[in-house]
Amino acid sequence: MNIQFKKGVLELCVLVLTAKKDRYGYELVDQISQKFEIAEGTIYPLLRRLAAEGLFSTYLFESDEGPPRKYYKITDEGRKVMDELIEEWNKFAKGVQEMIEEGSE
Amino acid sequence: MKKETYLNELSQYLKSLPPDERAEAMADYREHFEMAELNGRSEEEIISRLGEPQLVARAVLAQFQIRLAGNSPSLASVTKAVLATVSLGLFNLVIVLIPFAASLAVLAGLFGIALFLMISPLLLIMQHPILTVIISDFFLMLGLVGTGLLLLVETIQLTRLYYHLVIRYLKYNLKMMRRE
Repeated sequence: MNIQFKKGVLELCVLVLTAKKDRYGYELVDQISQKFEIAEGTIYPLLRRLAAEGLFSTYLFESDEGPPRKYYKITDEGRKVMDELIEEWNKFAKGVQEMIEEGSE
Repeated sequence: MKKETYLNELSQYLKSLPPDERAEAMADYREHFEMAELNGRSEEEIISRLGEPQLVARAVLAQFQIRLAGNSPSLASVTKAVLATVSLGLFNLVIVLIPFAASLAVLAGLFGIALFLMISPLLLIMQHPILTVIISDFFLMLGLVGTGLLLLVETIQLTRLYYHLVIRYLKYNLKMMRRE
């Protein structure tokens, strides 16, 4: 996947993933890096900024196996931003799709 | 490179952060290592997928400076945020630093003009130290000083808006997680 293309998409990805259920950091990183190549270490600063902006709340959860995990929970504000980003994405994808179809005619 | 070496290096690069910020960031990466190991990844694999400690640290610092500048915009904090973003890659030199420097020069120019207008009566008096000139040009001077004051107030407001816009642009720029 093209590097420029990931602009903004990562933010959308982490919001969509947490909209389904609360997730811990590694889970988010792992889910995203299964789909496309990223420098995994750069997801955490993004998560911290989104949390600071109030799109996530965080809590620590002691698990039976492994260390306590920091969970990210999407807020109402986070859902609002997610809806906006999804709409933006759909418009973008539709535009590209139309151009591909026009180009192949 | 081994896990402890990686974490130590990262911690060194994050020295400029406030202690609690730094501890929080380090806790995230420690947790990442432990969770990844639990999922059967080797230390080498985890490290290569995280990215170079320096690259990761730059991302952390940039996100932090932008957050800080957003909370209290000033010339110093905004400049720091711009420089932290520029450190993320050569490309940012072109699309961040140069526009920032150029627009800053325009703002400085506006302040300069405002200042010049405000002191213009003094300059006029120095050039023509005759009372009649002062009297006949009184309204001109009043107009110049008024315009200068107005421009100063407008430029101060513009600067606030400008900081806000710069921070928004930096955030937009940071959404890109570049792998270099």
